[in-house]
Amino acid sequence: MDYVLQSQNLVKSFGKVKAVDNVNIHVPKGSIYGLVGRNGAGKTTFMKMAVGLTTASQGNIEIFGKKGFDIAEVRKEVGNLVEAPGIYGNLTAFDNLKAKCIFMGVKDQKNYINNLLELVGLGKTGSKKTKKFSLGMKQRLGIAMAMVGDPELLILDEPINGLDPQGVAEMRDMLTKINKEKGTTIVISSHILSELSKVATCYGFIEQGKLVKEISSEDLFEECKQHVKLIVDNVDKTIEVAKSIGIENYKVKGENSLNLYDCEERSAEINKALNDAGVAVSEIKIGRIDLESYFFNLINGVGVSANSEVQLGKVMKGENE
Amino acid sequence: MRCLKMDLFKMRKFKSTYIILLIAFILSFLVTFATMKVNKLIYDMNRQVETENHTSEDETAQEEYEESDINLEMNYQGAEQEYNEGKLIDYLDASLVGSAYVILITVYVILFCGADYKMGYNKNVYGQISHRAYLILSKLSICFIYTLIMHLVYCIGTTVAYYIVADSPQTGAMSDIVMHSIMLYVINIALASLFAAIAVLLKGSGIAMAIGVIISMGIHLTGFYIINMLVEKYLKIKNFDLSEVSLLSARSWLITGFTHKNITHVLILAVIYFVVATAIAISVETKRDIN
Repeated sequence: MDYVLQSQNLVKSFGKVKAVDNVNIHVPKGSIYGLVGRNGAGKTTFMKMAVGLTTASQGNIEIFGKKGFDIAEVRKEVGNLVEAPGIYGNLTAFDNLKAKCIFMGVKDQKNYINNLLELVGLGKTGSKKTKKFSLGMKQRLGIAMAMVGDPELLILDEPINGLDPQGVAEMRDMLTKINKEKGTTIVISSHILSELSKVATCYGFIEQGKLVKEISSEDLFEECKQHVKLIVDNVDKTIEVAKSIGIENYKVKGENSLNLYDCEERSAEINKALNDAGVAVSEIKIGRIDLESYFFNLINGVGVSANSEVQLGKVMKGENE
Repeated sequence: MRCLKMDLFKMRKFKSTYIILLIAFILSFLVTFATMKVNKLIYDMNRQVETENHTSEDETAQEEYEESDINLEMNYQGAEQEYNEGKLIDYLDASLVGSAYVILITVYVILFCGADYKMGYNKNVYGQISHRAYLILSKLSICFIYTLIMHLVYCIGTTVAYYIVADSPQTGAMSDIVMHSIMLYVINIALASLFAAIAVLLKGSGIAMAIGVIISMGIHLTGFYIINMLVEKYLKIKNFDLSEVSLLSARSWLITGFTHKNITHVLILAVIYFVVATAIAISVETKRDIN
């Protein structure tokens, strides 16, 4: 797979504290990569290293295939919004963007800026000074600043903070649009996991500076979707039985454990068929998990399937046992 | 070049750019105007006092004349001495070495160089530049451009005031004006690079401004004096003078005489300040984590 951003054993230490600890991240080209982690988990520190605002204590970062000093060649292709947007309060949104456009060498600045302002929903701000902007408006301007020059990689730290629900939806649509239309790869961190799950195509879960897991949205969907979890004495025979009753979608999770998908209403039938075939069923559960629960289970160091499922018949939605 | 263009745009958009230049014009005009008026007033007062003295002396002299043949013409010569209102070049020199000029430069340089840190704008650009040194050099260039504009504004303010007040204006040799102006500009951009480095190191904080104002007002020279005394007393080094490496002192020496020795001293000092300040600023900024 072609990765636009990778790290190898990346470490950032502040004294004895490791804010980022041996992180090996892989951001596929053209993806929207959701970086998920609690406050202080190391997301922002990682992003700062990725955009060159902070140097790594150990390890390497590779951007567009360039490492070390060669990264300077591709820095222009990495737009960022890390922490609070950096804007001049006494200037208008247009002037703030114009300064960045001059820096990036953008041609036809007037039209470019007006289009950008329209895109982020600030088209009608006119001569209003940005110090009079609301938090959400500043956040939108920060994203517009990051987008100046049409970088191939956008790194956005909590970009939907401070946005109203309509703003969140607009931002979601906008990110999806630039990802699809321009092929921009986006790395985005957010605490609002439900929103992240609507746009991200890959996820990286970070906790206490360590990258706990990387997973594609398809795999995550598979892991999170409703399923029948079985603990049996014979997995091979269980698969045979499942196939015999028309269940083809399954995933072996362990020596005695497997999940059956797209058959949540047929748990009683499955149980009976297995009994008839002489398979000893130690446990049968219906499991379903949302991104938030998946994240909590991961960072608590507990296997997703072990702790997130509920007994048969009990619906679990955003609920942890 | 794009960094410089961006900073030029920001310079044009900052209100402080114009406010400080306006203050500079008013100050240079008022100081020259007031100085010349006061000098003239003092001369007139002295002349009046002398005339009164001569009147009373005349009466006494008349009595004495009758007794002796001493020629009184000589006694009048002192009071008749013509008022010397000075040349334009003298006022330009005085204006350009004044504390107000340095304080205004300090304020602007620290405001401008520190603004990106205060507003967090550096995060927008630092991530997309191949080397941070370009941004430091760009900021320094702006400081030099602004110092030049301020220099011109001070010259204009002083010249306007001079021609308004002077009865018989004399500019002085144009070559001297140009040479003095260049030398003072060189020393002032060395000062600007020092303040820019302070702003970068302290991220444009209030401490940076306080240090800048202390230096520009020459308060640090008191500290130098104390150090000189201590060095002489405890290290037994004779004629130790730390103020010889002070740009402010160098400005004062320069104004006492644009001799070859003074000019060489000032040029060497200015180059050292510029190189060291720039190197430190670039070195710190390149390695620093941006928060």
